[in-house]
Amino acid sequence: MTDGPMRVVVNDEEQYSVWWSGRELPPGWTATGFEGSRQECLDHIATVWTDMRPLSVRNRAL
Amino acid sequence: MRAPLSPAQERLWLLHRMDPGDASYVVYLVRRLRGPLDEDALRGALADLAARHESLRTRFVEEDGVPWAVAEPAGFPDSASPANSPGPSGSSSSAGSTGSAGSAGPPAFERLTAGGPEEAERLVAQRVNAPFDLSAGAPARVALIRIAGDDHVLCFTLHHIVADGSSLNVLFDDLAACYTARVQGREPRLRPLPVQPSDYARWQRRRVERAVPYWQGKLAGPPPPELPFDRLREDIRPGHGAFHHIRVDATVTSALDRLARQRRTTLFAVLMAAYQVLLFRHTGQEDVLVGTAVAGRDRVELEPLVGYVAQTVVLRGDLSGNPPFTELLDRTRGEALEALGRPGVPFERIDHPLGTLMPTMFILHNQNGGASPAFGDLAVSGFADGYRQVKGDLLTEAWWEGDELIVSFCHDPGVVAPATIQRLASRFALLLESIAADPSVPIAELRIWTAADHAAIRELAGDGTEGSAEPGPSVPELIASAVRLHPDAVAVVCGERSVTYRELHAGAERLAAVLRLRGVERGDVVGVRLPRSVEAITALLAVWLAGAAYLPLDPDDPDERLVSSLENLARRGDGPPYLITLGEGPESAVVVDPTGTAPVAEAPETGPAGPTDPAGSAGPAEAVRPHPADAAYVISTSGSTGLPKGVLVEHRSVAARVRWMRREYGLAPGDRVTQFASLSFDAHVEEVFPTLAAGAALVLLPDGAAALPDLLASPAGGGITVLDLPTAYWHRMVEEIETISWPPALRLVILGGEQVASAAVRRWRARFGDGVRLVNTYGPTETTVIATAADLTRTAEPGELTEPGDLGFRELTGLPGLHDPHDPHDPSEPHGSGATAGRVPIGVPVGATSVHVLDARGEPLPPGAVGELVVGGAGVARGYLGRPALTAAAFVPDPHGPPGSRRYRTGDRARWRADGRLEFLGRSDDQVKVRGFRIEPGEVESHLLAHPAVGQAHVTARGDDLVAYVTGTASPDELRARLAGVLPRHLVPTLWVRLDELPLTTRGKIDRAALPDPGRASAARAVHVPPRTDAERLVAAIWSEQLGVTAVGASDDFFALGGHSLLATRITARLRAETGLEVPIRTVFAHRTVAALATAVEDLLVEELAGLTDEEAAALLG
Repeated sequence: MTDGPMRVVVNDEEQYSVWWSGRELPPGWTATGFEGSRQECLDHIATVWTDMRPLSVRNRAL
Repeated sequence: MRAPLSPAQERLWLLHRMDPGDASYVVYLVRRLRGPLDEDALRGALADLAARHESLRTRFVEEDGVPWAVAEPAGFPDSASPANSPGPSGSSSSAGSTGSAGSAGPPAFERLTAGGPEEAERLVAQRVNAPFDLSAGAPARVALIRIAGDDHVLCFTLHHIVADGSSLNVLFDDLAACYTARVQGREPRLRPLPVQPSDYARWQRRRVERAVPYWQGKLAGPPPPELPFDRLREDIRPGHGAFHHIRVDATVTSALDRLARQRRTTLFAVLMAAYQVLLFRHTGQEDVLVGTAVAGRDRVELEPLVGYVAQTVVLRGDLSGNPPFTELLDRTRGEALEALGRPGVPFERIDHPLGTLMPTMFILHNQNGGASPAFGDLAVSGFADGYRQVKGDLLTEAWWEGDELIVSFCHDPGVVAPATIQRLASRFALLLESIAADPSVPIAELRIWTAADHAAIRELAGDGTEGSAEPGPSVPELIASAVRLHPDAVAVVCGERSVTYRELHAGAERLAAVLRLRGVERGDVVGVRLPRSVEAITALLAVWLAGAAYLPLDPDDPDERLVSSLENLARRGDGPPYLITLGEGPESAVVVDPTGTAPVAEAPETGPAGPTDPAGSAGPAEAVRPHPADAAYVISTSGSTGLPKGVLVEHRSVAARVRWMRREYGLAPGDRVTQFASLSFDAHVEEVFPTLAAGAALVLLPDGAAALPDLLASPAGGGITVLDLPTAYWHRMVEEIETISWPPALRLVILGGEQVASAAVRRWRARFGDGVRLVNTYGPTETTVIATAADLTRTAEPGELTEPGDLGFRELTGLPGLHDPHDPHDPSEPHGSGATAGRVPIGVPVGATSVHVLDARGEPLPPGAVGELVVGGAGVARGYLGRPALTAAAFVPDPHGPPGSRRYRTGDRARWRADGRLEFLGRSDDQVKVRGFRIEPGEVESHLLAHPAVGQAHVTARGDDLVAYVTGTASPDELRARLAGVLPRHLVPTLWVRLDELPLTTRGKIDRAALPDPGRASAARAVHVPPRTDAERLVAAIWSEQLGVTAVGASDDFFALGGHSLLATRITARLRAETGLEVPIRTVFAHRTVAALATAVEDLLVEELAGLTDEEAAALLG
């Protein structure tokens, strides 16, 4: 899909992804505040998404 | 008097030679004349016309393969007239024809009587759809149809080679003037013609020659031809046309006209740019070729000429960078200025087929509109022409009607569904409105999809279906109930051995206990590396019972790969990974050997303990019930970087798929399902778990997948009811369909993994009818085995495999009234949903799954438009283990799903078809580069697979060559000629390797590494092979003479030496002169090397000799 300014988004399960900066967020997703090119967003995600288990799975494992 | 033809005439002449019965190049003038008609004056006026216009006296003859225009002198009596005079046979039967009078001089004249306007319409339609013989006489006919004493229809038909659209206006004006003069008793006075067509042809030949470099540059490297719709079938050429009209209202039309003036251009440029946007939004192609016609009468002396002066030019639109429409319009304006002033494209001098240079045409007619000239005292009006020929896949024409525009889409309803064309037309109307409203909007954002399109997208996508899939039982729970319900039924068969559900479950419990003892916990990943065996199936279940996820590993893979997979995918914190395998396994892993815990044939009451079994002391395990979000398995897929990617799939996803498969495949306790797929491939999920959930029997192939035919031939194989096969493997089986022992009990075959060849489906249905259901599936591992499915046998079925039925997509067969029952290409024969003449569909979303086709901006596309397939719903995997960036890029927010849900971008190109099913169009990143051109091998493969005599096809790049590997009986020469006719030159493979079968991997996919190196063939190509036989020497000598090339070798290619279609006719003429044989032009195209053509000529000679007496043969040979 066409690149452009993107932002890092996260859902309630703390799963990360990217979304277009100018567009309305889909329900259930919030912006983390990080914006940049697609690649910059993905590089950022690589540093912050360290436990890839969904939040509910992590919580049950405790 | 004989004269050369203009290049455009030569092209038409050649088309006529190739297909004399083609009536698509008939032009016509049909007018209703009311009032007292003076027939003598009319016929006198026609004679005046013939005297005035050389075109009406010209026929076309061939000498040594070269066409010449031969014009009879003006005033020449009508000896030629009967040649083209008879209308279509039977014209006089009910029409009360008074026969052709044949005394008025050319053109041929016939008088007919019609009982009423309807009959007159029928007579007209017969005439405008009837072909001409170009050599017999001037290709022009006039019919005067009498409806009543003061009511006639004049039907003037000509071949396009002597008249274009402007000529018809000239003809009618001249006819009106001459008739008027004659009824008034005057001699007609028309200004003398400054030039005649023969003068024009000589002049135009020189101009075209000068324009060749421009067109060669402009049209270099055309993109693969793509149309804004799916075709119903690929095996016929468009023939019978149908027209769909839209009306652009005065407000929009005037806004577009204003826009043209503001940007200092013409309405044509605005419409052409809009048409290019229409195509771009459907195909995603930014390099857009559209043909158009220009009158070519930009010199005053050409204005009164009757002849073929119109030129076909191609505009190449650059739509890159998502420019505002106004900017695209500026580009189009420049392009049009540059191209329209030149003579038309010299197609035979451009090394690509016409269809790739001009997949579609757009024409704005500027003529008409003027007041009709006085025609004596008759009232002149239009009359239905009934023309129904179509020259290409899509011809779009626009013309003024008052202050509105009419846009007409001409297509063949047997090739494109009329509903498809209607949708396309509505989109064009909306697009024009959007442009009129705000031309500064970027072209990718202009509104184009209609309300009906948005409704179709919603209905087809399956949005929201995942919400209705309430969390049902997990797969371990489903299997546990099968164990309770059918404890003594056979669960797994492996060679001579079979185990019951009770035994299987007990074995899994024992191994699970061992795993727990060794420390396996919920959330862990356990490697499973076992041969095809009961133990392997047991191990998968045991891992689940222990609360973990399994990572299946191929026992044939080398140890380094094993260790790498384990390290990357099964490591848990700092601890060593777990591995279930036979024997020792790598040191870095905690190894569990299942020997001893495996199911044993046991009396129902016996306890689960083996003598040396550590599990014996573990006691009955507490059942770990998986949570829907727990990991079920990890499948290792090879990433492009070489590092394996582990796709982690959760239990809820597997459960959704297994429930759907069990229901839709109708699995029940009596079924016997083969386990063909390697466990390391996720296709095993589709075989193993729905079977065990249904209480059916899973039949293993301990000797490997390749042993399937042996299994089928064995007594045990006769009971197999379901086969789940990789498509490539099934293709191979279908090639040997008569030698395979198909199980008598077989009722269902499931395919997946590659594009299905339509020829194979045809063969399958010829053998099995609808008796064995054939289901095609599609789906990446990331969406849990499958995402879509298509039933290729049933025409209508209940349940999930049904395509949407209430969207109007059923109108597959077009307008019944237009079909000729005697036409071998009649498209009204049933297609059904298992239509096998076009691409084989991948179907509709399976349960709890949504599918969208998205454009480059991520917006959903309606039927007809090509985009990326994106899958949402219950099957979406958790992601790639330990690869956050890769996961975030591929698994993206799903705005149509439940809050916070994600969907998977497949990277596959697809399109919704007219029938509401998806077709797969290759991977978007699968391109190869050959000699600087980007090529999608899948594009070439699909054209090869459309050939009925091709079994399998694989196309790949090797250095500067595009290599095609094919199986089946079609010869490479034949296939090359076929592709050269439909694809740009650089998409036609340069090296061909015919194989008995394509090598397959153990997973049943095409084994690229095992394909033979075509290198030696490549080397041989450069070597000059002198002609070896008399026939080869003859062909080589003729080529040498006609192509101006010395030292033509036996393996030289006609087109590679600079041959083109017109030269081919000269080759046939020379061959005829030398051998007396009538060699069809097609033979020259189909046999492109000297050796191949020589063989074809020899074959023809043998055929000829077989029909002669000995004396005749001796005389001929002597």
